[in-house]
Amino acid sequence: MNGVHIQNISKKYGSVTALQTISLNIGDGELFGLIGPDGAGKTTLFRILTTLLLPDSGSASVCGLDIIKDLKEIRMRVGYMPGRFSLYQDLTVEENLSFFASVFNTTIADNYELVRDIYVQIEPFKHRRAGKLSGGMKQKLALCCALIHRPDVLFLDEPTTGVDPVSRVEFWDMLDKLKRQGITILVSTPYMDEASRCDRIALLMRSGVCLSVDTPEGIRRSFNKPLYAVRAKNMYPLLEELRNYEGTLSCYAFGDSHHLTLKSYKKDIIHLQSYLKEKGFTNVTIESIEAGIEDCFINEM
Amino acid sequence: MKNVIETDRLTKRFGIFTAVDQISFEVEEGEIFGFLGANGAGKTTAMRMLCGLSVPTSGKARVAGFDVYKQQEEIKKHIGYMSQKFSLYNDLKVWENIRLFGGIYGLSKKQIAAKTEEFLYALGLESERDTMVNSLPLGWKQKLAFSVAVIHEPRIVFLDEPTGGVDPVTRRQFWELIYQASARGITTFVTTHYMDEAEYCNRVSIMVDGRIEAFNTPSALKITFKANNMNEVFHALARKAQRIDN
Repeated sequence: MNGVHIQNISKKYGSVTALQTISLNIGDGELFGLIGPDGAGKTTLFRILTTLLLPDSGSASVCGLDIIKDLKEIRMRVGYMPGRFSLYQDLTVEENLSFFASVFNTTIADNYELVRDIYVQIEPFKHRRAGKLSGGMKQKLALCCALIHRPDVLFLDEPTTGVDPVSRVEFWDMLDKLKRQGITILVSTPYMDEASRCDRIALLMRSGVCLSVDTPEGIRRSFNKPLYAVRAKNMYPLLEELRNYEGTLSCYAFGDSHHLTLKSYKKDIIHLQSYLKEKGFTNVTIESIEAGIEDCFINEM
Repeated sequence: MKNVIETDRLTKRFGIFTAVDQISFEVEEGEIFGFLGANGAGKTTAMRMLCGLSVPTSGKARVAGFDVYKQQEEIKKHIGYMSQKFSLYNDLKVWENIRLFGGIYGLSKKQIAAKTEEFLYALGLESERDTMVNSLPLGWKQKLAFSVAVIHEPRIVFLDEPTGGVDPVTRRQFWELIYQASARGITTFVTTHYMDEAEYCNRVSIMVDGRIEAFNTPSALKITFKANNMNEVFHALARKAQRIDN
């Protein structure tokens, strides 16, 4: 095994640029996250690495195999869970799994150990057609099917979109287990709390430019401005007022508070306090906080 | 405050399976109401009954003043609906989608023309007027779908996971649209799996195994469940679920 190595990969669809000279090196057994807005080329990158699409230029290897020359061998060594549910809707849960096993010349029994933790959760429904499963169950079945041939590298394109918060945590617990078994995982996600669970993340921007690659901790540390959480009684008017405030650099809603950066720091906080009081806001609190991955993401956009 | 949604022991069974189990709640006019729950808790089934798309097994409900058993067509005229999966026609252009939905909701040609300009300007889509919806980024599509869902200024708009898969910046822009609609008096009934978005709601309910297990403002729920945020509230409740996600 030799991880995933991407060198200067570019891809255009007509006049639309999907990826621009992307280079990434992902080590064996690494849990690597791809985050970025819609249209940042994440799906295109997955499709190139799984040999389903040819790049316009650049090269890449998966498990030490070339994505163009060795495509047949790569297909035996990787598992892929596309963003859109791609199993056979009119086959049952069990039929889907044994179909994917047989395509790879193996059986459910041979690799049951690897998928057991996930499969037991959907086993009560093994005679149900895949099309009749709810979102969370489909995700679990898709993961089983991507794993049934014991791949060395797993590509997961937004596996938890539409999945509730409890099931998302369970899904990521499963990824941790797979990682401990030495499987390299490349995963994209729109949830920034999930990005924090990766070993490293790459931040892609629109038109497929890679902005940074770092550990979650490293990305958080790169946020180089003081950040404040502001709360008051009427939160939406507060957001509008904070945006109007002349000292504001940026302000975004973050659940139960608004995250604010200022053009100049110390002096403005005191000024802002009295400004908000003047505007009639009550129960105003302004608290200095550490930036999270989501703050960094928004800051880079 | 007037209630625009009222339910009393509303129930839906499929064979021996009770998908929605005697839910009773009210939503006030102009409110942003968060309808939360795990996958398979019964949210979509409940929403379909409220939208007049599915007849309840028992219980009562009125939506925009209309009965969910007898006045389903009236309900449909007075609500808007968008889901993550389907809301716009991918193979129609941006302006064609606006015209189609405007037409369905009975707007005049003049009104549709005015709405088209308004939407394109407000969403920054002027240069995309002739673009196939198919090739718009998901976030833009969702913002356009929301605008189209309220094109007829309905009493209530139902949003089923409108921000699923949408990036952090675009999700916030989407919520600004909700706030603006709310300021115009449109009630928002929204499901989401993003717990920061639950904090933006005036009140939320959390469904577990077909029943409403919690119903209050986010701040009151955090006190009740001794939680720091809505994510912890959700985990505390949803972990109790007995029913396997169906």
